[in-house]
Amino acid sequence: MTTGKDRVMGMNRTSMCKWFVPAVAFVIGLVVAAAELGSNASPWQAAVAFVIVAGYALGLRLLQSRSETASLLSGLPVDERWESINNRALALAAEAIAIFLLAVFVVTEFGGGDAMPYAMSIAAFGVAYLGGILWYRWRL
Amino acid sequence: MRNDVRKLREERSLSQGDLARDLRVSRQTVNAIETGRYLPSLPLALAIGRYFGKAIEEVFHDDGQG
Repeated sequence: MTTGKDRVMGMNRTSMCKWFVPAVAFVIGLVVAAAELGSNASPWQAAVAFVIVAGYALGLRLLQSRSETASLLSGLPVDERWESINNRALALAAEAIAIFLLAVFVVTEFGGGDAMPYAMSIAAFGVAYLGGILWYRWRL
Repeated sequence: MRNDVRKLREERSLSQGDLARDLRVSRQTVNAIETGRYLPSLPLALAIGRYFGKAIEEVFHDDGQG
């Protein structure tokens, strides 16, 4: 993995190798395809699942140098503003997930279903958030 | 926070792309700084000041100050 620490003015985060995120997406595609096959899905369904995820990985790699958004999605924000965009988007996504999990937990609980997976997810989210506060309180 | 980045850039007949290349940021980031949509980090603000041969407070101004 190469680093791009000094690549862009004002960026503190060590950026990843340009192949890292596409490679991870490719591996996820293989895992998803294997899971599909393991759940008795047809080979065609497994192949389609793999092509979708691997296509995303390939698209990211091909567009990395042409699109700043693709570069960000590849873990390579082009400058500090894109890093800030990434941080804000991550925070927004985290809030959306937290609200979604809470809503599903409440609906499942009132519907008499098993809400434990959602409760565990909410707990994991909370622990990660509190851990983040403690970590950055010490680091920043 | 206001800034004189656009004025300083235009005085030197530079395009946003030229400035972006020299500062190693994207052209959109230069545009966002000039229009006040993005407040640069201290290292980038210092680099902008150095680039134009100005102190940082000569480039970036608090609202309500000259």
